[in-house]
Amino acid sequence: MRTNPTNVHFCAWTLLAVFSACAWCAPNDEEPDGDAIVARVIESYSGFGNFQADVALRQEKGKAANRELQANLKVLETEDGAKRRKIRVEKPRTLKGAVLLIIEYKDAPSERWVYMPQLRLTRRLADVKAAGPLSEHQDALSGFNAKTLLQQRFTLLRKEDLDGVSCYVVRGEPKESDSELPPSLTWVDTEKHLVRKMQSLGEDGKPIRTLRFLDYKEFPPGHWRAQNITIDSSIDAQSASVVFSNVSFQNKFSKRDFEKRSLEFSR
Amino acid sequence: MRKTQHKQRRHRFLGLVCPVLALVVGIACEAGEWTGTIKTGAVVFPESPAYDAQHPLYLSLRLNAEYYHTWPESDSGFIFEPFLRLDAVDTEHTHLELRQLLWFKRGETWDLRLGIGQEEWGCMQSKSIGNFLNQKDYLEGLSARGKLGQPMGHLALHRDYGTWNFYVLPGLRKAQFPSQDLPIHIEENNPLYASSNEEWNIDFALRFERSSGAWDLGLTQFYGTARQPSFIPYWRRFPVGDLITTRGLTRERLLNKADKLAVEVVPYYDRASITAIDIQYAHGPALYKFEALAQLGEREDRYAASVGIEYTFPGVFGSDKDLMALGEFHYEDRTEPWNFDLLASTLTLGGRLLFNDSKNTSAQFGTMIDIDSGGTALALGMSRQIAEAWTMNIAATLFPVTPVGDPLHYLRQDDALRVEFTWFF
Repeated sequence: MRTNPTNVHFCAWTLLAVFSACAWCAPNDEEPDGDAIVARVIESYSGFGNFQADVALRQEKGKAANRELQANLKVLETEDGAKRRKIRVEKPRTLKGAVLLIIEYKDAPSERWVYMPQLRLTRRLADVKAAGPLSEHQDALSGFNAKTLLQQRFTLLRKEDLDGVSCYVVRGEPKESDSELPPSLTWVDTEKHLVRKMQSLGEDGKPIRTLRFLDYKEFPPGHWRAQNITIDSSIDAQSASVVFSNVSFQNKFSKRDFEKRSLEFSR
Repeated sequence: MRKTQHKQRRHRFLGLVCPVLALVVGIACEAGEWTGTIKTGAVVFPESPAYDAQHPLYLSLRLNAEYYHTWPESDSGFIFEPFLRLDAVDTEHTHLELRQLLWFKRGETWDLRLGIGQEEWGCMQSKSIGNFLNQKDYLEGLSARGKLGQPMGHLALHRDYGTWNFYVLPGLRKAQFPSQDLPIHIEENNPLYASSNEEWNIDFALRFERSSGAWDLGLTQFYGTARQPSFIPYWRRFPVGDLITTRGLTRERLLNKADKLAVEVVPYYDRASITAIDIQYAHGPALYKFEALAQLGEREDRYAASVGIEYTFPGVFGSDKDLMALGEFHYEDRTEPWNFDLLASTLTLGGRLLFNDSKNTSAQFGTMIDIDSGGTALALGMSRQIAEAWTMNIAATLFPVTPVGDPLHYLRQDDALRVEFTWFF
């Protein structure tokens, strides 16, 4: 029986197409998956012990345009895996001396305390993400906050160049179905595993908030930090920038400096 | 007579403060930091006053400064906080006060403070019954937050399970009252004491504090002269002027007679054992609060409890504003009916709306309802930054329900509008 050459060609092309598709779809052994990439990110932002910096937050556009906040930021990692962040406001003068302490535990709700110098009073704050500048831009004010990443699952979408830097693009979805975290896209530097850009996505998949991490600089011993973070919100057309200066690691901080009782002495 | 006593009091105080000021200025030349506020403002009372000595307009200037100096090598430091109010109309409100004059040293597991200081205990917002270590500064208002500096030695020992605070409190700061604002003359400079040491009794306090995750706990035991005085009333018959004690006469009956009699009251500082507890629990946007106090005195027993909730609504009604709402219920049972506590047994509801704009605008509102008499006070206010170091505050206080016999009855004609400008340095 003679074989119809048309059928042979059809089968060959079909097989080739299927194999090509499988090859394209199949995971590449050299590419890590999304969760592994983000695990490397968290690793690269951990283990620093402590650091401090002067931070300037400036609202560029929107209702609160030209609002400027200057603060001193101190961060401490403790043995229990918690991160303690202390933000002391320097400017505006009407808020000078106010201190915000945030203690983020690995597996428990955060503690938030504020010291109000005019009242000489330290008070606990509810663990809620309010819209005020200290709260709203809390992640950016701290340089980077890995806690929200831990609450998501990640899938590698693609690799692409961002401002001349090769990046993985990973999509994050909240692990908990009742989480208020929106889906996200994160651009991660393929070489150093530093976050270059993060986008929170709306229900229609369009970005609602974009953070860009710029001017990375290495601080001994081998810690990289962005010196400039820009925040753009497409919902209310607001934009802000956070600039870091006088960054230093391995300071002589102790846990005592990051406790509620220490806030009134934080001058 | 009274004015002379006030002058003497101020002069004595200035005599104490001036050398300290000189010392501080000396240190200030070396290093340290001055911060604080200067407030200037006016209070307008649109209604005619209930008492002759009151005025329709008060203008005042307030200085609240703090000098802070540290010696990092020894982990010690120094705080100096003077407070000055100059009132252009009512000289009784003019006063200079030393709110803090403290030397402190910090160890890894302990803190030591010596001098004149202030303590903030408890968790309630509108009134904290467990916050009783310092005398209130009644010249700043009967319900104001200001407090007088208290001579103290304070040692805090920090342990993994919590902090033990030990206080030695030599001396009592006598309360000063704005007599012009009241229908009754308070003989504040000649008070009575349960202690034979009078105002120089040495008092003690012990407080344990623990914050663990979402829970905060405070337990306080105090023994000594209670800061909040009760009052022994006397009344004077016109025109003879006989001074007759009215102990046992109810406040309501006496106030009904107040138009016909000249009434005087003498503050009485009881010796008491005070036990207090405060608990706070944080859960998401809510803070749940509880405080209780038992005061067992030689003349008077007092029991009080408060429950409250503070709830934050971020982005309220889909906006970019945050609302912090507050509800607190205070209950108090006193065997002594004579006191000037405006918040004895009340329900307080209030809130603070943060606009999150470039001028840090916020609006406050609150109401306080006496659960026994129905007496009601309302407060509305707004604060806004008008320059880098300046804010403007506008506040209105209204007393729509002031039943006879309720402490709010003293304030029945005192609806007021306050405008203040504050400079931060």
